[in-house]
Parts: sequence; structure tokens; C-alpha cells
Amino acid sequence: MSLALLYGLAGIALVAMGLYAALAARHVLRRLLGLNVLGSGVFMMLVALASRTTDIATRPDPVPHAMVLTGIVVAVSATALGLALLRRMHAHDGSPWLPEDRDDDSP
Amino acid sequence: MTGSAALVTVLVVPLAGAVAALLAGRRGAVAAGLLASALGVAAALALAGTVLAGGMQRVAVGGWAVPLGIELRADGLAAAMLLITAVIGAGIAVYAWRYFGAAGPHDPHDLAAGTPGPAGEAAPASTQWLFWPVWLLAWGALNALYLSGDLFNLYVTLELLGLAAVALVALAGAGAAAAALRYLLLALLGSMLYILGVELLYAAHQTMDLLQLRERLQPGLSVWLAAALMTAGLLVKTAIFPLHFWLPPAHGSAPAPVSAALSALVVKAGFYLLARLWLDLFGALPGAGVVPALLGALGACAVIWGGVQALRQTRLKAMIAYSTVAQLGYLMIALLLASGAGEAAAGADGGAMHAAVLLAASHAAAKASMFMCAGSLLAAYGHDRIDAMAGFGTHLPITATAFALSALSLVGLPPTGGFVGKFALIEAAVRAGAWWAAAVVLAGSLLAAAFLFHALSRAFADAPPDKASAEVPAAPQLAALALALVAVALAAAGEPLRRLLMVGAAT
Repeated sequence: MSLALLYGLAGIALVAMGLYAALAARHVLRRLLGLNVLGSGVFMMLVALASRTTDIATRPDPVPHAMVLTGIVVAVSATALGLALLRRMHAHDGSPWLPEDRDDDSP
Repeated sequence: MTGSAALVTVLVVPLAGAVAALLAGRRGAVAAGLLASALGVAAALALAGTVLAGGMQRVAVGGWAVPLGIELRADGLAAAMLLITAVIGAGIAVYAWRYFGAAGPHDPHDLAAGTPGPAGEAAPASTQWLFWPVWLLAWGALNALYLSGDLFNLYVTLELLGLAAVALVALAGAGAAAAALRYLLLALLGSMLYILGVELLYAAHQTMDLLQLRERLQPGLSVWLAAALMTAGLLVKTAIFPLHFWLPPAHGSAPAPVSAALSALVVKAGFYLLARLWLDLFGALPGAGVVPALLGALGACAVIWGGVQALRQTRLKAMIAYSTVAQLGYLMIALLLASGAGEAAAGADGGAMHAAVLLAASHAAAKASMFMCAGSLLAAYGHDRIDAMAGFGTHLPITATAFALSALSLVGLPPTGGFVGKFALIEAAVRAGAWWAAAVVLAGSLLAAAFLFHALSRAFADAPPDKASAEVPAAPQLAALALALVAVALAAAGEPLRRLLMVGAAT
């Protein structure tokens, strides 16, 4: 198994885990973390691609690397906005869950 | 102005405006916003003119050629969307100018909640000016999205747009944080699915450029997987039934100018991308007709479901928001008819896409106007319960007129842009032999007539004499009226729009 394949498979595993957490978790912080894991998986697959999609085996393709860097900037901004909104919702409603997920035993 | 200069100006004006508004702070933000809006309309007009006269315009950013660089392209469809966005955005800016300025101690947002959650509370007046930089940023992201010819750049613009839109929702105050957060989580999930698809396409074809991809596209499992992921991600972002559930709370709980911008313009970005993908890129795949057929079926469900839900609402803003869910359904039906199968039967004259853009433009103008009217009514009555607005035609005649005109266009009665768009859509459906689509469009129009005329009938009811309503300044009401008149005037724009759309259309 090549290193790139290992990276790719690990990326797929991260995507699956992150997707599950983003969809199944009710605590918004868990969902945000899930989306971050999902994003990491996507970026890892891109890094793996960089070594595969090149004409010369010794020189990785720079385009996916540039995409990962851009993607990380986007993910950081989005996470910051999400955390700020979560704090605000928690301060206002007293719950870290979205209204539709709240029931009697919600924290 | 040369074509490429106009293209770059369209992109730079809103972004420069956003920075200027932020630096100008609380006092100067309005001036920066209004100036950028005026310049943006002029630039969009200039670009549409050059595209109409000189064909597709291209700019290679930084002089780097495709595939390493990113190319910005303006074809007829892009120019049309840019122009619609600029005109509606200018109307929203004029409305917001006095809306936020006039909001005194009885802030009109405090009862804006059409949400199942707790009612939103007053937006602190000290942060209201932030509407300007955030809105200009969203507008810049929209323009960048329409001009991008590169799948990864489209991802970046989608994210920019999503973050700006979430921030706009959050402007309503802490009570809107839940709606904004739900919107953010779904938007992030949608863009992650999209980028995963882009990655698969890049792995198989070594390019992100849409035109290059179209030439190199090889059918295969990875392409289908990519198409499915990207489409699913965009369906979430466009709020197509059954993934529409986040839209009514987010659009219904925002301040009026924000609701107008989100419902009229921001959701159209997802539709535009879906159209680009399925008409320009994946349409050539063997067996690709299945997905537009599925999108059309979802659109039909959206028309009916959105209409029925709108009928059941007792609050005006929630009703208008569900109407957006229904109107997006028409666009999906038009997408089906414009895709390979439909157009082959109709003689490939771009009739369905013409109908889609005309409907999108009319809906944008009418829906923006209607949310503005709802904002004025909210300011006058302090609530937006439809049944308790008796006699608003006497109190606010300008708003009632604007509401009536935009309702006519949304229902699709002549002589409005909505009528011409729906007529062209039904014509395309009949020519393609899709009678079910024609039936759904007619049924959706009946539903829209039922809920909109119910709300409108309150204008002519006798007002209870003891109920005094607050004064509403004239400028926001006139802005709403102007956009309603745009929706009506679009009836005459059919032919120029058709010529514009033919520029660079994939045939």
C-alpha cells in the first residue's frame, strides 16, 4: 500500500466519521467538531491526490495544495463564526442545542 | 469601458464598498453602501451591454492561464444574474437606509420572529450599521460566484456567500442566533459535500475549469459520485424541498432588508450553480437526464408543499418565506425542461432557461418588495399577524399598492414579469409534452393566489377606529413600490433577456 493510498483511505474514514457526527449529534459544539473532522478528511484526500495526479512522480501537483490552504482558511473562519453564534445562543436560550432538538431533559 | 474592465469593476465595487463601509463606521456606512449600490448598478449595466454587443467576456486573474490560474467569465446568463442582483440590491439599499435609520426605541425587529423558537429580541441599535459591510460582502460574493468559471473558486464564493448570509441573519440579535446557527451548520455541510465532489472531478480530469472539464469529461463511477455529492450539497443550500426546512425560520426572523436580500437573491446562487452544472457540464453524460428529472419532481413537490404551508401561516413574514420555497420549485421545473430531454423536444431554443431567468428575476423583485412591505407593516403595527392588520390600505397606501403589485407578479397574473415567466414555462412544458409540469405550475399559482389575496384582503377591511398605528417614513415604502414596479416592468424585458441569454449558451 502506497503512502498516498493510506492518506486517501484515512481521509475517507475521517469524512465518514465527521459526517456521522455532523448529522447525528445534537450538541452544536459536537456538530461543529464533526464538520471540522469532515473538512480534515476532505483536505487529507486532497493532499493524497496531489501525489497521485502528477506527470512526474517526484513532483507533487501544487493545485490541490493551494486548495487545501484555501480550504483551511475558510474552515477556520466558518468555525469561528459558528462558535461565536453558539456562545450567543447559549447565553440567550441557556441551551447548546438547536430549538428542534430540545426537550425536557436538555441541559 | 472595455469588457474586461467592466467585469473587474462589477467584482471590485461591492467588495471595496464593504471595506469602505467597515472603515467608515457607524456614521459613514450608509453613504458607502448607497454609493457602492449606485456604482454597482452602473457597472452591471455596462457589463451586460458589452456582453450583448461583444459576446462572452473573459479575464484571467493575475495573468495566470487556465488550468493553473482562475478565469473569470461573463456570458449572457452571468450578465443577466449580475444585473438582477445589482438592481434588486440597490432597491434593498434604499429601503435599508431609512429602515435602520428610523428604528427608534420601538425597534421593529423585536416581534419579527415567525419562528417556532423564542421570539427574537431587539437588535441593538449600535450594531445595526453592520448591515452595510456584511450586505456588501454578500453582494460581492454573489457577483464573484456568477463570474467564476472554476469549480474551486465557486466553492470559495459559495462559502463567502454563506458566511455573509449567516452574519446577516444574526444581525437580528441574540434571539436569531439559533436560526443563524442552523443555517450555518447546513451551509457548511452543503459546501463540504460540494467540495468532495469537486475533488473527485479533479482527481479524474486534472482541471477545475468548467469549460475544460466539459471537454474532458469521461463518464464513470467517480463522475456520477461527484455529480451526486455536488448536487446534494447545492440542494441543501438552495433550500429545495425536502431540504427547505431551514429557510422559513432564517428568512422569517431576520430584519426586513435582510429577509429581502436572502429570499430574493442569495438562494438564487444555488439555483444558478445547479443550472450551470446540469446544463453546461454533466448534461452531456449518457443517461444524465435522470437527475434533472429528479430535480423537477422535487420542484413540483416544493411548489405544492410550499404553497400549502404558506396557506397555513398566520404570520406575514413566515407566509412570504414559504412562498419562496414554492417559487424555487418553479425554477427546478424550468431546469428539468431546459436540460437535454426537454429542450430536444422543444427545439432547443433556450425557451425553458429563458423562462427560468425571467421567473427568477420577477421573483427576486416581487419577493424583495413583499418582505419590505412586511417590514413597513411590522413597524406600523408592531406585529405581523395577518388577521390583525385590518385596514392597512388606508394607513399605508403606498405599501398596500406595492404589496398588491408584487402579489400579482408572484401569482403570475398579467401584466407582470411573473406572468410572462410562467407563461413561457408552461409553453416549454407543453412543447416538451410534460403536461404534469403545466398542471403543477397552474396549481401552484392557485395556491399563491389563495394565500396572497387573503393577506391583501386585510388592506381593504374596515380598520378598528381605536387602533392607532405608528408612522412609517415614506422612503422605505417608495423603495418597496419601486421594486414592485420592476417586477411588473419585467413583462417587457422578455426579448432583450432572450438575446442576452443566447450569448455563450451551451447548445
